[in-house]
Amino acid sequence: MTEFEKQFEEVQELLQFEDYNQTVKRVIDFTLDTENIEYYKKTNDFLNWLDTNENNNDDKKQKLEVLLRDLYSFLSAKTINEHQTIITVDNVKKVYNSNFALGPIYLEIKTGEIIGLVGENGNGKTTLLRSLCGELVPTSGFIKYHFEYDDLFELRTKLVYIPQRTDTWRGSMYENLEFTASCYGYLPEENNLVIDLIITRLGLRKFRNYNWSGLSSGYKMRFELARMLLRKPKILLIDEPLANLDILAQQTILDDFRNIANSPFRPIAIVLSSQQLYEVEKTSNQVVFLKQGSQKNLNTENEATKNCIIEFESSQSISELKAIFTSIHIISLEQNGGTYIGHFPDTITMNDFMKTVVNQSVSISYIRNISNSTRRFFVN
Amino acid sequence: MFKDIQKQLLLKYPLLWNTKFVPMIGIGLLLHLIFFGLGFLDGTIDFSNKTKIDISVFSVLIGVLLALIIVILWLVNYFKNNALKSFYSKSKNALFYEWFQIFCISLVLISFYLPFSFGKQLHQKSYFSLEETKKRCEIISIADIFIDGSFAETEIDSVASGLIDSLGNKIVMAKTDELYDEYERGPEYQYKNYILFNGKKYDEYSLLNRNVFEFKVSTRENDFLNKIKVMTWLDSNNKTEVRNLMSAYLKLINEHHLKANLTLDKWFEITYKEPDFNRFLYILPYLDEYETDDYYDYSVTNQKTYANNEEKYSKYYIQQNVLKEKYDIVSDAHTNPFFKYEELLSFLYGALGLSLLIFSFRVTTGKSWLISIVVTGILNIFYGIFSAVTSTGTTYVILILITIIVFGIYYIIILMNRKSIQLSRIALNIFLWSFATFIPIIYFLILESYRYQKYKSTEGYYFNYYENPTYIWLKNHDVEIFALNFVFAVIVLFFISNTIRNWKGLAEE
Repeated sequence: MTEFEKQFEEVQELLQFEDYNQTVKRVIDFTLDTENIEYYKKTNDFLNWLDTNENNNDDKKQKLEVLLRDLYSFLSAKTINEHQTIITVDNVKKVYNSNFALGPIYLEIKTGEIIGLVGENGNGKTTLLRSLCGELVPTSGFIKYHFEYDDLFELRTKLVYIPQRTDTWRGSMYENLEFTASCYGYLPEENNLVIDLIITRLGLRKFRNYNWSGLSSGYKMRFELARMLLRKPKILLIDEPLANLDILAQQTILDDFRNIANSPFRPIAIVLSSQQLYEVEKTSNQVVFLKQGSQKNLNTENEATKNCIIEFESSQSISELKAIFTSIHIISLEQNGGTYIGHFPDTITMNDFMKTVVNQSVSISYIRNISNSTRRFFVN
Repeated sequence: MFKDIQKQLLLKYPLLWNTKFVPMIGIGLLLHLIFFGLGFLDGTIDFSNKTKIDISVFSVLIGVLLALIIVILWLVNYFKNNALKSFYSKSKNALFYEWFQIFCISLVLISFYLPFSFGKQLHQKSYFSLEETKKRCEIISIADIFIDGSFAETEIDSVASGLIDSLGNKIVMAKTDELYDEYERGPEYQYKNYILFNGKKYDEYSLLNRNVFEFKVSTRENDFLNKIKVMTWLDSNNKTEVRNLMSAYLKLINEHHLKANLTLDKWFEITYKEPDFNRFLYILPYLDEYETDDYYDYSVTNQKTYANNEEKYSKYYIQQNVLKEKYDIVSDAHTNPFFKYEELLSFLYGALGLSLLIFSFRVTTGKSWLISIVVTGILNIFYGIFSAVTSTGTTYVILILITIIVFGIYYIIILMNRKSIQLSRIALNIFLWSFATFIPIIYFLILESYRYQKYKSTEGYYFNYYENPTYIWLKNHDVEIFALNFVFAVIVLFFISNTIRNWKGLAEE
């Protein structure tokens, strides 16, 4: 089964369970994958119909089924793009005038992958992103781009970086997107169709006629993303995309990233920095933890320290808890802003911990095994 | 309409949409049309001199204000999007096209004076055909002899001036080692108080020694022939021709509702004083002394009045000055070219300057652009002081030349290194603003180097001021050199704009 067939089955399942919102998003993804104006038109016709028939579930389902069938017949004949390495970062160091130094960094970035950069503020996440997009030149080491480009400018048109504070868009949002699409060679007849698909995909259909000042920061980020997707990038470098989003929106945008990156026909790499550790870890193929500029690789760290680390919240005191967990050979227990971090030998599992909690009637309001999470780098 | 065009351009030619090329050229042409109309209005000639329309100063001020407002509004809209800054895909020559569009818009916005002067001249020219203008100007020109024409210079009296002795031998002047400069004047000469025509002597203040009025529509040869013609009429006592001339002239006066307090007979009677033609009356050429701008009261200059009266003029007047002024305008309109080469060139340079200011702002950053202005100011002050201290005229331009070269080289080094941009934004701004002055500075320096060369005269042993042939050639071809420099600047800009695209891809730090 190809990657496309796998994804197609997932979408069919979504439709079966009448998750229309998600199905429409995936149908748009497939439509964009066709790179064919006929399909752009068909899906746009459906979306226009949907604007006035939101509650007509029967017709909606039927139309989506027809669309999906159509898309399947077209896309199943299309060549699938294998994931390939597009950037190699080898021993890159960046020293600023101040005392801060990033690196050495080693990274292999492939299309279809999401790479999460995590770390506390001021530890080099933005520096690494800016180095990857060519905005900063490494002090030593090299970044190799595995695709063709004529000159530095052309290289930078393919490395799309969205800073945390984006520049204000002047004029209407839609006109800005038309300009971007036009610059990137979309034909006049497909320009508006593609934009409509992308903004609907990113939940911006209602905001197409808004101006920058009328948008919340979350939607501004989405418009920025829409613009970047029109640029057919090789890699998207996004600084703190989750910073201004609520919990639900964070999940949605990460899902969107997942689907965009993992397109069977147009896979791209996404590197994003975030403080939202768990959400990023869930979505990313690689997580890079940066501490004072140096990279910490999770797997290597695991091999060095075999401890089981559990993070939990309890109303009981540290001494009480220490006494309770001696039965499972607790190594150390630290309190970190109302949360406890317990280190246990690697022989102890989450189940052992929970058994003790139940048996000893420990009051627990939150629990998480962070042995394989970069979270432990934050608490160490 | 503009909206639809813009939408189409946005989808097909994003750069043309971004620069707002079509609407701006449209606005520019509308501005030209308005100023053509204003010029046409300003070109109205009231031959009767009752109303005067002079809106040129007003129009230029309004034009400057309008152009300024339009440029600001244009830039606000133009700067809304910047594909280069956003690293959007751009073709290799896209920046040059962008500059060229900025240049065209700048040119059309700043050159509103051209349609103004064109409209003005066109209207002035339209009053009479060239043939008719020539005919009428000839009448006015010749009639000046019988009204208030100036007197011509008589021959030099060589004996009285000490140039020859009474036997006709040339008196050799003592040679001097002193250098003659081009402004040095010769000795004071004595002039004869009569003229000779057809072997007859006439007083220097007789009608025969009066000048015709010169209009540009008539050649100097023609004017001279006309003068001879009138002299012949007078000398041969051809009253009919003189009366015909006066009659034609008075017809013009009546046609334009101008005033004169004499009839043909009276005029003829008071001026035609044969056989010596020196006891005529002077006719006042105006009704009101300040009715025209250009012609003044000649009552105290080089005139001898009849019967030694205190007053030069008689009680008679005729509005000759008005006719002269009005027909002079028509005559000039027929003879002057609509557009002067230098004028066009100056607008091209103006547009080049403005377009480069905008272009440099566009390709660098606002901050670096402002810093560059400050740096330029400081450098100029510093160079100015340095030149003043060293008291040499060329130091300043040599320093400017060195600055252009240094900034240019710095920019190229940064570009070749392919590392980070460093201070090259400032260097690029200053280089873009100044590279077009490179050839003019070299030109100026060459001129200066030749200016003070003195050569030994071939005739004598003293030095004479002599201009080198290269110097003369360069001086005579300044317009061509500046025109070539403009073409050169555009070609250089083509290559610079290509490098800017690549330079933009350099890292920040």
